[in-house]
Amino acid sequence: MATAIGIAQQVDWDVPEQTGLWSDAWVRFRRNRLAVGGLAVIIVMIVLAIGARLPATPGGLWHILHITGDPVSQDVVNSYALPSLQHPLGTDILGRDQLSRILYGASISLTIGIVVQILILFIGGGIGMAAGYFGGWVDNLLMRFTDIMYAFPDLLLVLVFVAAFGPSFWSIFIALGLVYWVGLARLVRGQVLSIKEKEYVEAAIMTGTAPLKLIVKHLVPNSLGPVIVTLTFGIPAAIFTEAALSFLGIGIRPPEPSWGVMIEDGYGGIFADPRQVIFPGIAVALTMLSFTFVGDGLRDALDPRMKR
Amino acid sequence: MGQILLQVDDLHTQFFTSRGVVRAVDGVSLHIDAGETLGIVGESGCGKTITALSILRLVPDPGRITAGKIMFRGRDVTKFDDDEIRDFRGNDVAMIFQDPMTSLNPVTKVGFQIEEAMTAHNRFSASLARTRVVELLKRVRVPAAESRVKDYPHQFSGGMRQRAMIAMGLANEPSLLIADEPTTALDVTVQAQIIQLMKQLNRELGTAMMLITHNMALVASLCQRVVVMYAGRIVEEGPVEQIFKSPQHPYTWSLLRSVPRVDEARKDRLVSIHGLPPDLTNPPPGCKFHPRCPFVIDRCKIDEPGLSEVAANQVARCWVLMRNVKDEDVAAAKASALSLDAAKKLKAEAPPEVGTVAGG
Amino acid sequence: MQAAEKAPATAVKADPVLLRVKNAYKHFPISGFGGLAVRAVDGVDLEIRRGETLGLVGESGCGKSTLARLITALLPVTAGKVVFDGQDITTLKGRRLRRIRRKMQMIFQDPFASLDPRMTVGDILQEPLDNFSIGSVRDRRRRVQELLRLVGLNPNFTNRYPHEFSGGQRQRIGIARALAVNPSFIVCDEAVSALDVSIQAQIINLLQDLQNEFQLTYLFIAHDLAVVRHLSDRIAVMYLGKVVETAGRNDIYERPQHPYTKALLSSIPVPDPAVERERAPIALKGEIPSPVNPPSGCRFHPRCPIARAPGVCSEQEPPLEPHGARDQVAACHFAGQF
Repeated sequence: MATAIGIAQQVDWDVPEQTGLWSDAWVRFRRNRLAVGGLAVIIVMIVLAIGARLPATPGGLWHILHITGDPVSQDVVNSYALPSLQHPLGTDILGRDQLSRILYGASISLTIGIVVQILILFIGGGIGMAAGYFGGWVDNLLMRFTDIMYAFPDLLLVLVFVAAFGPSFWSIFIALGLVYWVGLARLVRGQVLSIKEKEYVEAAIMTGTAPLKLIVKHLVPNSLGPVIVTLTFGIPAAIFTEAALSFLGIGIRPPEPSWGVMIEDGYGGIFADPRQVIFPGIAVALTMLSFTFVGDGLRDALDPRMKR
Repeated sequence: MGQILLQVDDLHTQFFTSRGVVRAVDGVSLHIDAGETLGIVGESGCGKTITALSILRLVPDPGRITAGKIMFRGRDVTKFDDDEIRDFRGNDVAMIFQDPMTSLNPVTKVGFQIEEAMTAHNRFSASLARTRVVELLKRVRVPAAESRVKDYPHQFSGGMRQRAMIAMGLANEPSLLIADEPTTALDVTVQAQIIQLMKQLNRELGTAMMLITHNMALVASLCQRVVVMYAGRIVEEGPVEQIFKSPQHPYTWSLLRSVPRVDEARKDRLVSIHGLPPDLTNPPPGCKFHPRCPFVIDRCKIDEPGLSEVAANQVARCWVLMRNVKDEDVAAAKASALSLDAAKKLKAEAPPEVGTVAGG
Repeated sequence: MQAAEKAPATAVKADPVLLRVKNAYKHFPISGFGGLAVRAVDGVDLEIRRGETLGLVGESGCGKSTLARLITALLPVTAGKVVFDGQDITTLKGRRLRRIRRKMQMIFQDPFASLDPRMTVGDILQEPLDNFSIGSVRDRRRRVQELLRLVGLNPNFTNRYPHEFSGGQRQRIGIARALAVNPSFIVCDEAVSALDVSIQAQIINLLQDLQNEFQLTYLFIAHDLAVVRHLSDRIAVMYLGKVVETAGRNDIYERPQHPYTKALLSSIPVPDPAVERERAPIALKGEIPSPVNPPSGCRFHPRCPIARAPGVCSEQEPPLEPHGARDQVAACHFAGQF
């Protein structure tokens, strides 16, 4: 009789080798040389940027790299100095050391890039998640608002916000965050809408999972992949926008040396000494390229269809 | 009948992946007579689809035919150059797939696609091809064929799309039609219509058919002869009546008893094959089926059996053979059970019925 | 049968019917098409009795999966009632709805989509136990291992991810999850359709064993009539959003009263060449009409071999009434007359 037979008539005891989701992604990421190179550049840049902020003790690494800890000290006698041992990348119009200004600028640019993305994650992610999860009139309201934000020219909007908050380090963050969340909100909403239809979400609801837990444990982790990629691409975009703003004279105020400020400073004497524009330009380009490569690598690595 | 149309000889198709060499087709030999319907059955990953793709030389990367001969009317397909293989694919052999939507171009009218299949192979002139399209659609019983030639694939239902695919397959009057799970994506009533259609076409046109499926009932309905594949190898072959009445390989036997029949009231438990098919990069030694076989003997674990004649026209790859298995062993295999204790224990430990719902 | 001996003890004063669907509707509005809607479920009455398996069959688009989601309250009804264990669950919300899910579970169709790819198997199985605060944390861990063992999986693999398992193994995990909270009723939505035949047999046997062991009630939804007949005590046939016939599994095969049931049954090939040579499927005209604008009268009449149209079949909708054997109902003006 059937009951005499019992449960689990056959046992599948074996399972293939263990592979974690993230370790899988890491293996795929490592296979992309450009992405790994980009990651290395970014790490070096972060280390140097942090180093540039540390006080330089005589004889230490930062001292040897001529980072005095004070990229604003002027030496007008030495303006437009050619690269030398003392100033590896020369000096600017006021005789300030270019290398230490670039490294100092790196700390500002990277901070802007990363902090703005965190802001975008909260604003755009939150709005997208709410729209996608609740749907209906909430979705309609939030998405129409998003459309309106999207319809305005980005740079104009940033100008308005910066003008409203007054030009400062923080107002740049907030202005960029308030303008550039739109893309992420749409992405997250789309992600949530598609994940909500997945059977595992239905299964989680069936097993009595409460709404908040559903969002935190199922919706957020499963929409994370594309979000990480978008944010990675967003970092260079924010850096670039900051440089453009500074170039227009409404970003970081001199003498704080962000890359955009440096390009703006050098632009006046571009024919006298093009290095003033070229070196910070290279820094911007290198950073953007590195983040773009890393973003590309992440996109491929986090895509589950890219198996093996 | 009786005249051999296609003869596959010791075919090996391998996939060179980062995990190792996957022996997807591992020494398959089979033949199809003119006008015959041959069924190839097996579960996913057994190599049945790759066998068909190999015959058409359509094996996807990183796969390759590494050995074997495919003789079609006395010529070796594996040695065809590009022109010859194109000609072979269009004129001599046609293939229809499981999902007709992915094999039809969504932005081109159905009639034009069928027409194109004909003109591409220079078999029919452009004007003749145009009139033949309607004729073909009528042949596969598409209602209002005259007006439907102007429709796009999305305007066709699933069953109608599959009919259009079959029409396209028949466009150049091939002598062999390979159908890979042609009805799996369709609803049962539509499936019945397509099966009916394929039977009629086989009778009317005398086109030989190779039906690739996991569905034993479909084979019983459509085929004269059947090849059973497991882990890249043929494990049994013979006339349909004989294979269904007295299967000799334990895999065939289990496969037949693992599916319930709609015309029978529930009697026995279904026979289920425990475990999983082997990893084809590292297949087990001896008989490939031995780790899952209920009637395994020691020899199976070391020595791989060859295909040997077990009855008239029937061959099987097994040391034991079902006719030598004792009745009580068969009964035991039908009622295999494990882990009753686990169930009892779970029941004893089951949480009390009262319980509070987690907040949130 | 052990189940039969135990039945009186569990059903002393209880209603023999565990779940009643009363005139349930689910319409999905098509946005932008003034008032048009996909009438996925369009007036369904159904009863599921304690301890039985009710099979629900129909072709794609007939609304069987939508009905499953109404019964499990995953979707709200447009109209009608779903009464589970004496309680109308269509009006429940939030915490009170979640409490019902302690007794009612679901096994899903796609073993690759029904497990969260970012959670370990242990977390997946522990989630229902956490949600209902069952036992201590240590108890829950032990129960997860027991559940894995129960469905025939190695209990040491709690820290593995779903993608490391095969389709059949994943479906076992899905079954273990449904069993975690000890439900009395499980909806199986095409639970074996995506599996290979040998694996399908494993899962079917497992479902039967679990039912006998825990006195479960199943709603078994599938398009494969052979599997449904094998597993079910009674079978309901759906066509275009409506139940057209319900009967015991042998009655429905031997004496189908609705022509659609008859056509459906005759369409299924049997793995036996001798039977196949004799079998003559009833060819239905055309294909299933759109559920946005179903035919007037009996929905089946444009395809029906015995319909009188124009006539009563195209004008009047036939009610679900007793026909044929005891316990058999069919919605046809000419039930059994073919």
